[in-house]
Amino acid sequence: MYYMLKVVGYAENFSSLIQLGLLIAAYSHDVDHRGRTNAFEVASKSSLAIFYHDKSVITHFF
Amino acid sequence: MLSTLERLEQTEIKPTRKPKRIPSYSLGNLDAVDSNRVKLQPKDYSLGEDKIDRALLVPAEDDEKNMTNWNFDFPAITDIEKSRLMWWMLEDLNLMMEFSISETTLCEFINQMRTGYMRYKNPFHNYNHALTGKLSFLTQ
Repeated sequence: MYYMLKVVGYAENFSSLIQLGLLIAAYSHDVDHRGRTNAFEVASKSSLAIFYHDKSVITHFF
Repeated sequence: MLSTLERLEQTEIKPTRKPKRIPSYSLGNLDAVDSNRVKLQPKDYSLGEDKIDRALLVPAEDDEKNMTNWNFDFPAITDIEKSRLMWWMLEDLNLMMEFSISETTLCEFINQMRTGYMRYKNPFHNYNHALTGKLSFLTQ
């Protein structure tokens, strides 16, 4: 994201608030990732699967 | 002669349609999965160490050269260096000054993020993944 903004030159087109948002989103996009698939979460009845009712568990969480 | 009730009891109720097959996920031995997961892990991420402090937020000479170098080896540098580069990217785009983010707050945020990425010892979605994603989606 930094490379796109700085070197490619997208920084001219985005306001500084959007730049900050993009960088923080890119930074935190996979935080607390379990490394397990949806099927694993559902079958092991993990707390995530229970919270999101077994529907697209990983996608809902991140 | 059977009564009506007895005949009803003897009648076998056959399902008109085949019951819908519910997919079952057989996991086998969960301990085996976990032990495999540990074997995949190349290095042990220790929590609680490598915390960045505002005193460490000093830009290095090679930062700009390294961050625009496609061949730079990010997994080889230490976690403090990675955290410092996270700060440096915001600093280089003048975002720290523009939004008057205090360095103490940013250090706390970065440490929390690093703890979150290290928590599950994920071989792929770890701190390197965050750094390369923030740097450029193309090298992710």
